Amino acid sequence: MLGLTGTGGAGKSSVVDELLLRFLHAFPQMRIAVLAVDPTRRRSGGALLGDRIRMNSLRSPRVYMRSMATRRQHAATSIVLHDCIDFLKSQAYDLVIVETAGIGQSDSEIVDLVDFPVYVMTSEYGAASQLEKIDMLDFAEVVVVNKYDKRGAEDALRDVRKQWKRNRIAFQMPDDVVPVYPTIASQFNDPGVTWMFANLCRLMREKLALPDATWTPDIDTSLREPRATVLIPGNRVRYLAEIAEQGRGINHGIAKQAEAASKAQHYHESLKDIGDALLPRAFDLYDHGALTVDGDRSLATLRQRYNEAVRELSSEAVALLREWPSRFEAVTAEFNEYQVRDKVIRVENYRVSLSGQKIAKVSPPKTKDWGELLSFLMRENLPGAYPYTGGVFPYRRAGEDPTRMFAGEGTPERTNRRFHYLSLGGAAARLSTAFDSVTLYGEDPAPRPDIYGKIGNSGVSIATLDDMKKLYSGFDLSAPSTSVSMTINGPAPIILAMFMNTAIDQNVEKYLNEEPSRWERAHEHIASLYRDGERPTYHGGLPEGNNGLGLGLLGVSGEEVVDAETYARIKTYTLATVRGTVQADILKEDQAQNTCIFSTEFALRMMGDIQQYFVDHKVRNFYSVSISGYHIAEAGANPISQLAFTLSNGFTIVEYYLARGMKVDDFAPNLSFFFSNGMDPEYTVIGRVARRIWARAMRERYGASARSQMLKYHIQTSGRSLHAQEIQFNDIRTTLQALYALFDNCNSLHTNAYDEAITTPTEESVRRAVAIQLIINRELGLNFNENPWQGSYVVDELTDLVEEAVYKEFEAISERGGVLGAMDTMYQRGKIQEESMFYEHKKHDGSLPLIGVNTFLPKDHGGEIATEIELIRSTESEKGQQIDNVLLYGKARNALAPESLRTLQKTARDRQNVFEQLMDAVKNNSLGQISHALYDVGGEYRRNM
Amino acid sequence: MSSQPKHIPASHTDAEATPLRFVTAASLFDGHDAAINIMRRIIQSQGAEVIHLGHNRSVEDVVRAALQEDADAIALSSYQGGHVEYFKYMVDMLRERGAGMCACSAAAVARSRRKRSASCRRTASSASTIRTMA
Repeated sequence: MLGLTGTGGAGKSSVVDELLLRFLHAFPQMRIAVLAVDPTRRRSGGALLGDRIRMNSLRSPRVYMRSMATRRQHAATSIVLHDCIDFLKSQAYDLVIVETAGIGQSDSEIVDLVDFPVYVMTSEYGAASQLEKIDMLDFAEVVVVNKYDKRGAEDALRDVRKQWKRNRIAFQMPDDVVPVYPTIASQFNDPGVTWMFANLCRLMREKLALPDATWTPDIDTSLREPRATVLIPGNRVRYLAEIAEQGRGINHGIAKQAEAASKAQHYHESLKDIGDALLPRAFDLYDHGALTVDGDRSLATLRQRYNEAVRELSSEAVALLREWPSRFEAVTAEFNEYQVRDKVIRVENYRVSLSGQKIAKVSPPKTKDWGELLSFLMRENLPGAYPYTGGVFPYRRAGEDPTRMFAGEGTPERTNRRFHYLSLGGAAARLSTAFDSVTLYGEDPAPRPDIYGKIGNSGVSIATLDDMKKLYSGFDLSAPSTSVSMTINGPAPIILAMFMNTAIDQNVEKYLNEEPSRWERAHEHIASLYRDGERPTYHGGLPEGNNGLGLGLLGVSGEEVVDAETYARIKTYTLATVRGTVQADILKEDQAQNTCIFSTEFALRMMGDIQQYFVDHKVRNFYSVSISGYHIAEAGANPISQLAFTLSNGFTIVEYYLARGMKVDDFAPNLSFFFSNGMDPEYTVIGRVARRIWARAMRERYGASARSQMLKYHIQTSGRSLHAQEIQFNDIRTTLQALYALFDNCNSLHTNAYDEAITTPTEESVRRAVAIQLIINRELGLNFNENPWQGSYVVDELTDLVEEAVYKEFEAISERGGVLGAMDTMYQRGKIQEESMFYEHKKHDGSLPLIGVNTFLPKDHGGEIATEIELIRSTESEKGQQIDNVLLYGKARNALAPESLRTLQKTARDRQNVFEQLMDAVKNNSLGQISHALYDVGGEYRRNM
Repeated sequence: MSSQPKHIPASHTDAEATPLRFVTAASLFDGHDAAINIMRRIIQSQGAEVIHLGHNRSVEDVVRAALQEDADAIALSSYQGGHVEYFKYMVDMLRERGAGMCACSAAAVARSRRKRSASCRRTASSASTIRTMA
């Protein structure tokens, strides 16, 4: 009978879960019952019993757990607890664990109910004298100081040990004998927990006279200290506050500079007006000799003042002002020429309207005031120039609209057909892939009903490399006009490895095609692999536009059909060429979206592994992460929180990668962003503010190059702003949001279909959604211009407002220990939920007008859906096909590399680059097989409330 | 939500009565937890005890919890398809394991729909769906 008590938030459930895992593992026969007691709310009489949510070990049939509410005020243990314990004792349980909440001061009654009390606490108890009030330190046989990675934990451990000794008048006892153990239970396989577990078993044996044979775990305790994974070093944890401070400082500095520039201009104009013979060119200084004049002092004073004002200007400010006339000329002449990497691009500066008017692509400010101009140049600048507020490129890309439509349903074949339908006739193939939820959670299709029903719904089912090859077949993944985006997070490293292999194998296929005789060896090999069974094929006919590229090597890896040298060459080329994005943003998963599968720390490590691999293999045209605010916004956050959380996540990734030893200019160009655009006013400027804050921090804090300073982002219009009522109105909302996005120079845009409020879009609704973008891009006259927001007073004001609000939020997160610290206390999750409730309340009570939803209701019905909607679902045969495929794949491929999963596990255990190994593992193992192999070495995700 | 009942039947808010016990969760491979979070809060505020399992829960997880916790009801939200299979499997498993009490699955089926880029917790639309379904 083990009793655990401790303060709320000390991590009791995690400690219990970690203990259960160890008990179950160390003692294969042991049956354990867990009783968890949570307080009843006095006002409502209800209770939230939230211990099960944290525990992953409950799926063992050897564990029974029961949650109980106190049902009585001011008490941590329930009246009936005593009876329950007696009852469980009478059952055949070898161990009963009782978990109760309490602050350890008045709740020590648990001591009388159990044989072996344990107290779980953290370093957050206040002053050391508070420890004297904690009764449990008198009674507990073992004290666990959890969250040992928190600040002040070492002091806490020392103080708690001292208090423990003082309570027992055992001052001579050496520290390592005192049963006070530091742990980090949130960490997978924490050595601190293991050491505590070993001692717990020992002390229980001693105190309760348990048999050594059955109660001695055979575990490795060579490490005894908790092993905190330091993602961001201690001296950098204030990064967000520092960025906010620096950003504000820069704004303040610009105001000063602008003032000086205005003054300089006024003096210069005055001197010109009075015909000063020695007047220098603008921004040049008077010689020293000119500053002292005999007679009238006022001329000398004017000259001095002018010199002083110019001296106040930074060299950057002077350069900006000096260059301005030629830059103005460049964007107002008929043509402009500029350089991208090593190409010179020539563009026309105007488009002519039907009325014969020349509409400028880039409209520069016309002011002659140096101060105003300098303020514009330093805060805004023209598109393509630091700080990129107006946009990261001087002009929009010609011949490629930002359109990127998200699609995915059923089998890979079905989605492939949809991709070809969407891309037909387009100059570029910009594919965006939705995976089904089975894939999103890293599992294989299976007949079990709760899995079965989800196969191929709301996304495409991908479990093997062959699925991936079919999915993108007929698209040349190495062509500069193809770019692929994959919305996947938890299993992102595995899916990305499949994608890279698909691209490589396409090029192997092209190599074989060059010389048809090269196919002989390949065919022979394939035939030998599938002697008895059926070879994987693309089911059904190829759609228009699919030339079959990528299907030649179904069932094999390109590595098996060409010599090693050729393969290596093709691989190198492919990695350096392939273009696209993988979402892979674990931070926002934990904060909002909930498709985490691995422990957060392990997932972050794999993100770093991907980026390291990209650096090592010169993957230059692929974004290793899409730092996403979209899901934060969709979960309910307002635009400020969306932007602040997303940028703070971005800076966290930067800090983590730097701490891993990567150079900022090696990885920053691989980072991309993803935001939602809804209806709120702040969405007008979300891109502008993001670009400004990012560019400044990159240049000023991280010393990064121009390429790293450019924040590129995808926008998806807000799904949350769409309503099931008056569903046809949704296209109007989407149109306005798309307009926000395009006027703000987003780099990529998805427009939602109107029926997404209720179902997977149909071809008809997607066509309308694409038309929204096309109409703005090709028909709407104001959109001839590429910087329409610049120069608007209200947009300027909004930009400054939102920038400051983001800095405030940065400070709030920083106070909580940065993004990771704030995640520990679920700060972001809590804030998102609060803001979601606020919106829903206002929607419900009508104070937030929503046309056709809570106002402007139709006369004849209450606003319910009046449209017949086609429901998109995967069919039984599609589901069956995916289940069969993965089984056949395993049969054909697993045995070819029987060690590959063990090698992968060893790589993870040794903390080597997991992605490097995944590139091999996906050649022979399915997604589910790999996920499960990694759970054993990286830990599963533990849910939060 | 306008038709939201003010109270769970009066007999159960009675101080003498044992509170109702609910198991709440979102279905397997489903991270959309805003609706179920709102529902569980409403249920708690009406004086029930809620054993919340969070998102991405298999039928096995939910049924095990319901049986071990001796729950009176299960409130489960499911999104983006597969709910028919899920609920049928759940009811079957409850029966098979001898859940004597009514397998009262207060099933909150948000009308399935794909959310682009995989996520969205559309609290109100889900909640209003519950109204329609209930």
